[in-house]
Amino acid sequence: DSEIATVLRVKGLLEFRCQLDSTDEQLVRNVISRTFETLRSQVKSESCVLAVSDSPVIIWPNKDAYATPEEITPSTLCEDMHQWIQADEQESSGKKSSKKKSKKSSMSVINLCLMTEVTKPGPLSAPILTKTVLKSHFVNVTLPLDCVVCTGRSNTIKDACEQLIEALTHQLCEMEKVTLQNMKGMTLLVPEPVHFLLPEPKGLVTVVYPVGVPDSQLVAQRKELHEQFELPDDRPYFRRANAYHFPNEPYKDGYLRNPHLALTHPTLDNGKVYLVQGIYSYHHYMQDRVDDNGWGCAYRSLQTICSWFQQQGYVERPVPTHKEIQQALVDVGDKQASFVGSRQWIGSIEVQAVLGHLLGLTSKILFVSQGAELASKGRELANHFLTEGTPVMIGGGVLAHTILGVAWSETTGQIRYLILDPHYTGAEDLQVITDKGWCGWKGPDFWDQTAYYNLCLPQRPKVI
Amino acid sequence: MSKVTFKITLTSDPRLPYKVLSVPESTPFTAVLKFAAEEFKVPSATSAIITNDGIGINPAQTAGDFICSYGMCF
Repeated sequence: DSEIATVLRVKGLLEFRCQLDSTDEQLVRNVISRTFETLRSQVKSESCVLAVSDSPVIIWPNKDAYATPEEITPSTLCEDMHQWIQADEQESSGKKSSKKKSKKSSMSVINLCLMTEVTKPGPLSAPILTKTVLKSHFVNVTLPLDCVVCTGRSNTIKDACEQLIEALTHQLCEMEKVTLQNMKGMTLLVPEPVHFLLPEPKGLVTVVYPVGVPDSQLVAQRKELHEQFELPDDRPYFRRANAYHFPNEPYKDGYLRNPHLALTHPTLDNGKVYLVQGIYSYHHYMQDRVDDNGWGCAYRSLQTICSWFQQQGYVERPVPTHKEIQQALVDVGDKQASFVGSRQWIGSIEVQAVLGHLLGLTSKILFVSQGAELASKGRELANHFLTEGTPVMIGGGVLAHTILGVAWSETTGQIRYLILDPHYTGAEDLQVITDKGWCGWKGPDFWDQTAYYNLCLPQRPKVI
Repeated sequence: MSKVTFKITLTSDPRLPYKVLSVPESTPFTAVLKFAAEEFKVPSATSAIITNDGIGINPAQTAGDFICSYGMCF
């Protein structure tokens, strides 16, 4: 059984300051390197302090892990730190589900803040000030340090401190490299760490990217990373949108992510569960101050699909609004201009056309002439979730839904569909959405047995 | 003006009748759809054309562009 890892995440701001007396490139580079070396010494010095967030715990990592309060010793286990942390019970972004719904997460995160002791007791001496008049460039940048370290069950505070200091020093080296690489004359770009969660066993990896350089200009770096970590070269892992979202951080936009993770999946005889891969947002009726009750279901399903492509890093464009979707259909010649602003329904074919026109995506269309035949599409849907793993939009019988997965048995043919229902009109309440089945597993009788259904299966572009 | 040729099968009819259509390569695909629908005597507003392996078509493409992405070009 894999142990629940405790991840220590230390964040902090370090002031990068240096004086450039010459514009000679090599001299400038030397000064920059020396300044980074100073910061590295600062991190390794006794004035470096780590404060555990939401707790009274403060640790001096370079003083043999001396800590306050005094109950904490260098040999205290990292996982015992949780007792000292006061978790914030009320979350501002939507009501979280009660304890019984919280899934066994494989990672618990302890946040720490990097600080520097500015004063310390020492011999008193009179300060000396000198004034020199000289023209020079002064560089002043705030570096956002952000390191993660995984600790095991038996790791003590002392071990953790060593790992954290090493991680911080290493990150400063990476930042130095990125800063020097992206130097243009006298302009420096701020180096920014981004965390990515790679498939097991690689886990969390941190990459330093220059702020302001778009993903499209970082292809060479991503290629190198893919090689280094032996990742397939046909899907993105290191675009900024792929950044790992830590469990204790709420999403600023307020949409729920992956509500299906709160469900228990069905077990069928000899059956397997095939699910959507990655992260999507739940889009449904009445969101964004748009009253689309009764007509917007396919639009919402399309928005869920767009959110998937955005969060997996394939597109930067934000999720389109109803009007933008309608305008796209007019632009490709599928609808007349009067369509924009109307409450007309759209179907899978329109969804496919919009995904193509706005996001540049290809989609496959499946159809059944009778809902009863959907059960026979088990293998195809299973294969879709295995290879593409994108959410599927299904329209027919006057309703549109999103299929997030199937549970299918190759031997018995039994099938269940994981449905995300865009007809929900309530608030982003995970408890209600899962309890009332707005996101839930449905049987083959969920479909209108005599109606014609079209399905839109979006395909991943083969890029990194 | 060169022409491109499509074999279009009507899947809503269990007999799977098909027609072979030739259109100038600059024809926008919406026109190909209209033409095919007329030939099959089905309403074009509720019809769509997809490839054999289910890939949907961008209606804004021309027949020539489409053939080069998914069909055989010489």
